[in-house]
Amino acid sequence: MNSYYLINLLIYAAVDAMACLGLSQQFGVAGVTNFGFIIFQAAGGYTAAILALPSDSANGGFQSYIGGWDLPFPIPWIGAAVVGGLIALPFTFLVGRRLRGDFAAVGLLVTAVLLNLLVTNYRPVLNGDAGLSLIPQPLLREGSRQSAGYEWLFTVGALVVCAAVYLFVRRITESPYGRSLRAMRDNDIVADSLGKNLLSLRTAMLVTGGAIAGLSGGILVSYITTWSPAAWGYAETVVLFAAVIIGGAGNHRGAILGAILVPVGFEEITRYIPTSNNLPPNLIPSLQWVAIGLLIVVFLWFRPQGVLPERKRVIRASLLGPPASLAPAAPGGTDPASPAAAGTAVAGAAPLAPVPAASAVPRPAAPRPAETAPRGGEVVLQAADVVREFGGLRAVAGVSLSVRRGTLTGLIGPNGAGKSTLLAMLAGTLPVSSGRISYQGQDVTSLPAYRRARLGLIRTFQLASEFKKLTVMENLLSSVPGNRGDSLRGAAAGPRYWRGDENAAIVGATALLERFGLEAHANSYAGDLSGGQRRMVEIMRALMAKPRVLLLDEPMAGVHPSLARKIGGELVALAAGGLTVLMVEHELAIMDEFCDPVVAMAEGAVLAQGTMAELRRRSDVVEAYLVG
Amino acid sequence: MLAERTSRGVPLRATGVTAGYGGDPVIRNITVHADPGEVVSLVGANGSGKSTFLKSLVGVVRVSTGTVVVGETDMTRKAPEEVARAGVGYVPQVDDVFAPLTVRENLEMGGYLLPSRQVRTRIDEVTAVFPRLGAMLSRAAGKLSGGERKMLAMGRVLMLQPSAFLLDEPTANLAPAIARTLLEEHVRSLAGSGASVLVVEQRARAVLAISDRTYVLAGGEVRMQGTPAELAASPAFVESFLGGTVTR
Repeated sequence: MNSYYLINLLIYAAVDAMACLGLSQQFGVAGVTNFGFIIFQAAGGYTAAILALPSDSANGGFQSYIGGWDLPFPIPWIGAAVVGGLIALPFTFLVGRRLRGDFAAVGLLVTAVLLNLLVTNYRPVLNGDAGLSLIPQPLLREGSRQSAGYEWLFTVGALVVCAAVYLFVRRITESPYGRSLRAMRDNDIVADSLGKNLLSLRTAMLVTGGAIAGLSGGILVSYITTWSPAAWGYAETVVLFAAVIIGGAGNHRGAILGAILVPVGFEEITRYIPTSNNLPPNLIPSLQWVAIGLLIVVFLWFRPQGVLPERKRVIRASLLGPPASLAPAAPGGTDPASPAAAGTAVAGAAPLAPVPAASAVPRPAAPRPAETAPRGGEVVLQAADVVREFGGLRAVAGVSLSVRRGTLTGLIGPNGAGKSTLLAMLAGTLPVSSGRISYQGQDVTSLPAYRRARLGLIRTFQLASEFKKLTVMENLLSSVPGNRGDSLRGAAAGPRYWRGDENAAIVGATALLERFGLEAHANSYAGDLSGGQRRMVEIMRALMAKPRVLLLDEPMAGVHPSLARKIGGELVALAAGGLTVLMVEHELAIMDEFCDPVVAMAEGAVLAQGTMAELRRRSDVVEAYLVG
Repeated sequence: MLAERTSRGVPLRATGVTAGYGGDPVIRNITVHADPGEVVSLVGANGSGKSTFLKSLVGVVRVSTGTVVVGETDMTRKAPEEVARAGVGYVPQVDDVFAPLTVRENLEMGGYLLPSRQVRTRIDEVTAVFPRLGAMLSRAAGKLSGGERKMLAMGRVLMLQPSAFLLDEPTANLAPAIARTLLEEHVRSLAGSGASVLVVEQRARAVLAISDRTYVLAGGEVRMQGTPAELAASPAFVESFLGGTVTR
């Protein structure tokens, strides 16, 4: 093999690997399907070109372009990265909160096609379809001959930049911030409800991915010294997606492998397909696209996780030492050492205590709901005449409700009464049609869900909402507020900056897992658990968020009765420590034993409020709910 | 009502079933049978393998050893649609409805094996069982409340009048009144019409009241089995399952 060919392959590999790393970060880690990825690489290429080129009257003025600043290396490369990142900003509205998933992907694809047509057909700015050429190479004066030594130096430079990009995306992905990105990928509505700012996360991913793509374009342009619209057709994005999917989405080494296999290796191999003058000239290149399409289909069919699948992040809490010797574990100050009776909740096993295991926080002396007066502190969460309409249907038709601090307030009612809708409005997952919601004396009606969550108003969901491709431990860690590594800057600062926060969170999560008997599953994917265990993960994750008010939507559905009682006991202990709980639940035994007051809803309105015993005496409640 | 039209039932026999998701088996050597006219319940802690067992019966989870026989036909390792065509109706615990489709479309989907003129009458019969569904036939299933969604999942399976019925926590999101009605009237009457019914439930007391036999699963194996009366005589069972925590 001659060395020019090898150099060529290596530089293309470095450039494609960089682009794939950017895409892997966006698509594989954060779940942002950017079908317009190639325009960021194109922007970087053009930027590097017009920064390095002399003014367009030079070289006989055969091409016309803006810029032409004749700036020295490394300014063109830096400019390429900066512009690649900056032009991502206008796209954030596409992938923000309003337009997500497939719609955003189609929007980006269309934008890529339009921009390519625009640049192709409008000559003054970037020389139209002829493109830019004679782009100066870094550190080379005009006219000087390229030596093999220079080429090798360029290659090493490109590989070093590629390695730096790899280390950067790995650092981001393996940080608490990366975990938030993966949580958003798995279920963005739930991530929102736990205090993740989706708009900010997606913007950051578009900008960093765009900068990486721009840099790769800049390096490519400085090597091939030419750049034209034909080099960045929308189909190039498909090739990069193919590389990421085949290499393994969510695994950055997979992205590099994919870059070597697909855009470099595969395209090189198809170059050796024999051709002849009898064939139409575009046949072989077109067949290349068909072959890449087939390759994607084959992989999605037989190995959808790619050659190098996303690896599981196993966290060994035992490496941190015994939990007892470390910081206070769980929210609300319950005893991390209480025995994990839940793990033995199988038939024929040791008898379970009827009352939950001892807690550090003493329970109120006489928790017989029927006999106690309405208890609790000041009103912490209040709904005033809240209405929610779906089309013509009034799911919630004017509900006013006050929840007092330190209470376990129950919410019952027949199916379709509007309980879940009310909960969603209280948490901010759904906007109200009319009415006001106040929390801790503040009007939060217009506050988005993630900001309410950051104020300590945390909800759970009726349907399974675990982050499936995060382990149980990661699910719990994902909701911990205030981790220094849970921001782009903190993540970039490296593990040493956030390791302390992370370890404290792991200790807390481990204690909670032990208390609910799920420690054996800490490193299982949450999506692999049984239905009831997933409910447990969700409740524990909500507790890890250090809530002040917890909104639970049927937390006990599908949970074994003895375990349900244990959860109830934990909640009572946490309430004694100041936590407030509003809980929708159909398990009346739970309501009887733990909840006071209980609110009964029917047909979108509050029917009655009182202790469960009082409600049982109300004929309208009995009619609507207790007998069918 | 729906029971009257179920003409025949077939026995369901799982013998020595071991199954899992690729790694270690989740359930081991489970032998369970349900005869026509019987309600057989499965109870056990979270993660004991109840749902996995039901999935292995309908071909969603691959059986590694053991056999599944429906009526006279060996259904071991058959694809889910073949099991459905053999007359086995299965209501999963989650992902149980087609969210973007309307209630009516969901029911039509459930009855797609029926001749088209029967579909309409059958929808009327099913909505007579769940009147709430009848009132919201044109609403998207994704906009139903949790309990309504469960009713729709049940209703969709009822469309085919299955001769064997597998229910995975049918009452999990249901209000007490409808949960009891569902178990005591509908599930019981399915069996009364000759279908064999296998039901997984956490509301142990409620399901025991309608069961002919009950199996207790723990750690992926059958630990106890017997009639409700026999189990009620076992102190360990009473302690774990009937400790005053079930509905009413």
